[in-house]
Amino acid sequence: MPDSDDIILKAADVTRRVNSPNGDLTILDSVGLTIRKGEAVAIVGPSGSGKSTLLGILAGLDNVTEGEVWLDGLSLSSASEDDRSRLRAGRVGFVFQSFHLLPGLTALENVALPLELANEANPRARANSMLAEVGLAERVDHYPNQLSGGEQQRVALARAFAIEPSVLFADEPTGNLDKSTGDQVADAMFELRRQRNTTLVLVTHDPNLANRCDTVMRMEAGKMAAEAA
Amino acid sequence: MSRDTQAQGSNAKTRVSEGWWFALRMALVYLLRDWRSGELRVIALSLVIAVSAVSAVNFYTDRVERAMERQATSLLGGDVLVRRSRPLPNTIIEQARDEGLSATQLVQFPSVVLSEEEETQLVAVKAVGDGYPQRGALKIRDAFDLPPYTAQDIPEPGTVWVESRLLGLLDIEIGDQIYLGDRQFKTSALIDIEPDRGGFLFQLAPRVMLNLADLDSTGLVTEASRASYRVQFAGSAEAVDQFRNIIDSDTSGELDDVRIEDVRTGRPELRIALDRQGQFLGLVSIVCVLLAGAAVAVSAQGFAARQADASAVMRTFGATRQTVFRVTLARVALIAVCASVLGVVLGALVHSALVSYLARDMNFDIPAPGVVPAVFGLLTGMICLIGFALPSVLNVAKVPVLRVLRHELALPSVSGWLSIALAFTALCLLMVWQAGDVFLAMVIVLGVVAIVVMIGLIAVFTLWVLRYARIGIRPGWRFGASSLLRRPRNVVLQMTSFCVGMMALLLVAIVGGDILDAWRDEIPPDAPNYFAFNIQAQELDTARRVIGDVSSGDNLFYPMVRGRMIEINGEAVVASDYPDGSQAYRLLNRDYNMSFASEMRDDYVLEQGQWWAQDQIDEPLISIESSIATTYDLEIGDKVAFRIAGQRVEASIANVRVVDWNTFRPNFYVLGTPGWLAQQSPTYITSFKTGPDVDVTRELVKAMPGVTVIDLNALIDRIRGLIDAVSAAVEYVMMFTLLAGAVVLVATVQASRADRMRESALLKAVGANSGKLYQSLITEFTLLGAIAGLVAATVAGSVGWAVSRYLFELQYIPGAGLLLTGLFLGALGIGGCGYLVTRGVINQSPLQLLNDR
Repeated sequence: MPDSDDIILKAADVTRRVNSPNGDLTILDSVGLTIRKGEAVAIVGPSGSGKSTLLGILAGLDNVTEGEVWLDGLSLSSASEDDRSRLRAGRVGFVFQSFHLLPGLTALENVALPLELANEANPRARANSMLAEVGLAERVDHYPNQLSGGEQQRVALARAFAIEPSVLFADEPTGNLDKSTGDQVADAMFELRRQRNTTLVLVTHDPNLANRCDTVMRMEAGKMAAEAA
Repeated sequence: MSRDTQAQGSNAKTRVSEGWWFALRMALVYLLRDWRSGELRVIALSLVIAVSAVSAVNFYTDRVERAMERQATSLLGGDVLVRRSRPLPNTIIEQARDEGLSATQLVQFPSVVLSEEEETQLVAVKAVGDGYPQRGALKIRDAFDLPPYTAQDIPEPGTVWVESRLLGLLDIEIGDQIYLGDRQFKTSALIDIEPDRGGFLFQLAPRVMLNLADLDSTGLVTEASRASYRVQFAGSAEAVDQFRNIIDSDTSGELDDVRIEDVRTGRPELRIALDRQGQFLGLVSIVCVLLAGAAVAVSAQGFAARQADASAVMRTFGATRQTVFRVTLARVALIAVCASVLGVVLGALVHSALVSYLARDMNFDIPAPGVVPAVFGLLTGMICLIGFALPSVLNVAKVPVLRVLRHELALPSVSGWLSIALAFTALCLLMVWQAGDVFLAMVIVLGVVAIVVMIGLIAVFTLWVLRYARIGIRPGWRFGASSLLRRPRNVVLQMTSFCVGMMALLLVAIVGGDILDAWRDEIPPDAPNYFAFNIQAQELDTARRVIGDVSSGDNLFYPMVRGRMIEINGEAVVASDYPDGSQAYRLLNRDYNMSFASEMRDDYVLEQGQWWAQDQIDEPLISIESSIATTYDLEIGDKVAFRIAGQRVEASIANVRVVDWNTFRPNFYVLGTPGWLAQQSPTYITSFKTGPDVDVTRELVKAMPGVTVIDLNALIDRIRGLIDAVSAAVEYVMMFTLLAGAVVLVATVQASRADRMRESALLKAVGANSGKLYQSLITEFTLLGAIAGLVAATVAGSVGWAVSRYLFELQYIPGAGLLLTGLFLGALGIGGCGYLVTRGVINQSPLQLLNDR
């Protein structure tokens, strides 16, 4: 159990092993961390260090082999996949490197989707105002393939923040964008989380982006190497 | 969920949307986009074709079935006919009325009428009660020269309606008086069509119909008289069943001699033929559903693969597997419902074209379309969807949610056993439903599965051969051949589907055409359109002259004597020794026509024995029709006795003859030598052909009042109409089958489109020019089509041979032309179609293709 009400995310001795042709492969090795509400944490490290796996486990997308994870006071480690999905609904936002907008839905429908899944009232009105907030009021009826990369990522931001999540998980949010567009998206993301005091867990290679966070955690070969405030 | 999670989960800030309403709302949001997506469009197209085929067939057979039932009830004069040799107790009639049935009583008996000029004539009297006939229409005319109309009532008391030839026989006019028993009646109308006259067409005595209320006053019906009592009942099917129960449950023995006939017991041959046709079409339409199902399965798999990301994203945002499953199912089902509705509408349009043949050529009164075929069509769409798409839809929900971070995590593969089990169950369900007979359905399912497996194995074998044969051929062609080898599962599916589709087409276009032509030729263009009988010996010259005036050709007159078989080799034969209603039973229970001839007619074929020589024509010898010989186990030399005009006469069987009943010439079960039968004072029968629009009836009846003329024009038109309707229906359904086969091509090509695009891009990037890529594509599809066409032609030829040999007893030998047609049709059709569907892949630039990935 977490120690304090102030803690939104806690991982204790998290180990993740997978089967490989050469026997068991340890991707995360007894990782522990604690993230307070409203804190922005960057997880950095070289490719294959296990940072995306850690993000997946903290968000309940993947399960631990050993150890325990609590999100918003609820244990993820022993919950079934569907229970973890229910737990995420309305509580967790995501921004991905490859945007992951649903191609069959308009910008508005993409943003409204998590609201509808969480059974929130007035999903379309809220999605509309969220899109206006990210500067896409004119693009609500566009489908993803009619939007530029930067616009798609801003729709993804609107989708992530529409449900007023407790925690936003971002996996290389600017990784697929050029520097200028990436900076604009990053600005929008940090501004939105600041306004809402949303906890941010960000996985990135970009030191500039990492440095905008309150805490930077470095992963090396599946272990937490250092933590810098 | 852990206790921690459960305890705190109850305070969770939101409740997740998991219901069907949410799924349906999402499906509606997706509808337009889904319609534009390739896979769902193919699923929709497949279902439109399958549902159209099934609906067209079911609308058609349902209406024909009801039309036949109507016709059958008209032949009985009611929904149920009860016969008895004494009156049916009034309590029973009252009980029937209580069940909601309306009833009309009839009494029939032979008697003699007397004219005012004291001419006498044997007549068949029919006394009818109010409401006669309960079903069908009685047509009468007020005078010979006036047109017939449907009688709204029965003869007024004191009047009779008579058959026109009675006027000639008694030399009287309409309005004259006749005497029947103790009463005098005025003849007030001529009977034109009596719907329930049934098999008494050849009866000698003309009909006299009177009001039942007058019957007692004639004094003709007593307990000893040979009257037959009938009651026609009409009402709902439930009321009819209830009434049957009342009769069947009678334990007093009072009703043991009651005979009940309804549409199920009295099925005319035409109805059986149409029933079989309906059953056959239904089963072919299910083959069409099977092909469409294959296309649905392939497209659903492609659709599922494209939904993998969306599924993972939805689950990331909190959707459970169940929610994802429901949303995916609702999306596919919504498209399927729209497609099925469209299919039913198309089916209804197609069936109306088929029904028009029956309505126009067969003069059928076709009832309006029912709702059941539409419901069946919609259900077929749903069953097809569940049977063939469900495994893929289930799979969408199983995408690992981690795919949002690790794109290489793919859909788990669809369970092969689940797919086969579901598809097989769907197929069985539809077959049983369509065939209405579990055994027949299972036989056909196994037959279809056997053919499909056989073609599948041939496809596998062909690929195996191709693996070695492609070495040493030109690169562009080799790419094409190799392309087939790279997707063996797809290719086996494609080949099998094309084969089934092309087999259907070849069967119809070539084999079926020959069989239908052979059937059509059974009615030669010079087939007679009139029969005239009851011609007396002294009228022969007049008949020859009158008929000769309107008809060209050599019109033969056959002598005719009525009799029935009573003994075989000295032992009495009685109807009750044979199953009730069988041919053996019927032929012992009534008189039938026998004839005599000295020479053998050119269309007779002797199965056993010899035709009598000129010096034998006075000996008591007979020629027996082969089915009669089989029925009574008769052999050459057996002595058979007949009762003719109350006398027993005996003859030996000289030969057994095969008769072609379709010639429209007078045919006889029994032919005797002239010496044996000529002294039995025969009447004569002839058939002849007149030009169109020549009504010879009036001339003949005027010249020979006692003659009966039957106009065959309507019957010939009906049979030609039936053949046309059958051909059209078969062609339509087979066309649907071919379309379904084409959709499988589109579905499978679509499924491989992404792979093809990547391969094309890579080949172009490393320097392959468009020409080579086109060559490769054309080779691949032409080869596929040629092999499929060749196999289809071989199977179609074999099936056609078996069907014509064993079912139609026709000679059909599949020739090399069929194989060549299959080969070229397959190569051109599938080569061209495949090229059209995939050419877009080649027209794009390699960079665009690689970026699209």
